[in-house]
Amino acid sequence: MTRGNGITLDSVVSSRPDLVAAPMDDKLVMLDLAQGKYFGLDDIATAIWAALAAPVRVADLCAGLVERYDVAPETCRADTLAFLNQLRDEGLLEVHA
Amino acid sequence: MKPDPRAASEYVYRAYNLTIHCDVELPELLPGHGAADVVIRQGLTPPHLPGMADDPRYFQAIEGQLLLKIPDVARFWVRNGEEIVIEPAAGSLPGDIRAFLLGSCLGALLHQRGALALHASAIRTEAGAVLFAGHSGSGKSTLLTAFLQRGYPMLADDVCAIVAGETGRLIVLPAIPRSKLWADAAAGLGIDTTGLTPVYSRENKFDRPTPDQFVRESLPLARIYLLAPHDGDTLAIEPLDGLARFTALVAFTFREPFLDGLKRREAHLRLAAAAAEQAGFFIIRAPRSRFTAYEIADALEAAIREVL
Repeated sequence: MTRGNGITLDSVVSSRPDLVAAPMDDKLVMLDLAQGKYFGLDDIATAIWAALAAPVRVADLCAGLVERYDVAPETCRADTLAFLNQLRDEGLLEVHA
Repeated sequence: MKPDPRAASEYVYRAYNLTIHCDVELPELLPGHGAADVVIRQGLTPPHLPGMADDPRYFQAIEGQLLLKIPDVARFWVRNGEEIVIEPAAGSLPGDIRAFLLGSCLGALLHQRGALALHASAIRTEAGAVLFAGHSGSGKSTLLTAFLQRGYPMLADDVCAIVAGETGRLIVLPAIPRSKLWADAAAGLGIDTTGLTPVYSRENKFDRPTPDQFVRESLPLARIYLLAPHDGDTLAIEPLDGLARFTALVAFTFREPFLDGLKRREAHLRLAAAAAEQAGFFIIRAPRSRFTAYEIADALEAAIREVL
């Protein structure tokens, strides 16, 4: 398990609650007032983001996604981890453990 | 006793679905009647806004208030979407004051009232309101004038306001019955500028009143065309998808830097996302090298007929 910087399957994460978001078709546009930056999420990212409202263990998040979408577990884990790390780098994620 | 600002009102106008009482004449606006939604009056402005210091920036903004400082023209204080106080500079020209009043100040007032104010002109078509968004010099007024020549009535030139209607469907408000034209664009459109009034005394830009071809009621938002001049030779009109629409709406928001101080970013995000969702969205890549307004108008007329 890599600790410290990277988010792993054992990390517990949630979305920052103070972001302003508005739906746009099946996508989401978000505003971080503190950073003065806009972010856009595509349809899949929007689905993952919706599951981050309350703290969730990344492995459980991936299991839920595999159940709902037609995606191989390996691919899902890799893509989700990459996306979560990107969110964290942008300061949009709360990492609890 | 506080003076009643309404007592000083002499002129009553209508713009952006607002009844405006003003103590100076604003010949660009349509006449209105009834109780004031907005009062514009001459008076004293504060040296700076509460909680801020005097600074060299051209504007200051806090929630509900904007102070605009234009050297040699005037200082303007825009408050709560309801009042604009003008303090003219010594020797300034009324036409120059009106250029900033009807542009930046009404733009700030629209932000305060929760409208999405875009740098766009708008016409009425059978499909609803069609907007041409673009930066200064991108050709939106020229394209608007080409459509006026073909008999389409207009809703707005330069600053276009979008609000949510009763059902959540977005509507476009009638603005000011004029089209602003650069001298070279007027020449391309075969319009003689000798009898027209310059918009701002330092610019070679003319005000063309259009009260006979002006829509007086709001219309549903149908389409937004973004004008993107380029250095190539070909004219292309392409659909714009997804998040690019939202990004464009932020980029073409009128006086977008006002939003932070006014604390309107959140409301703006919601309206811009709704506009991105509801409007048909296209980008017009027009060559700078030649006069393209008629070519573009031909293509758009055909496209609008197709969707009906």
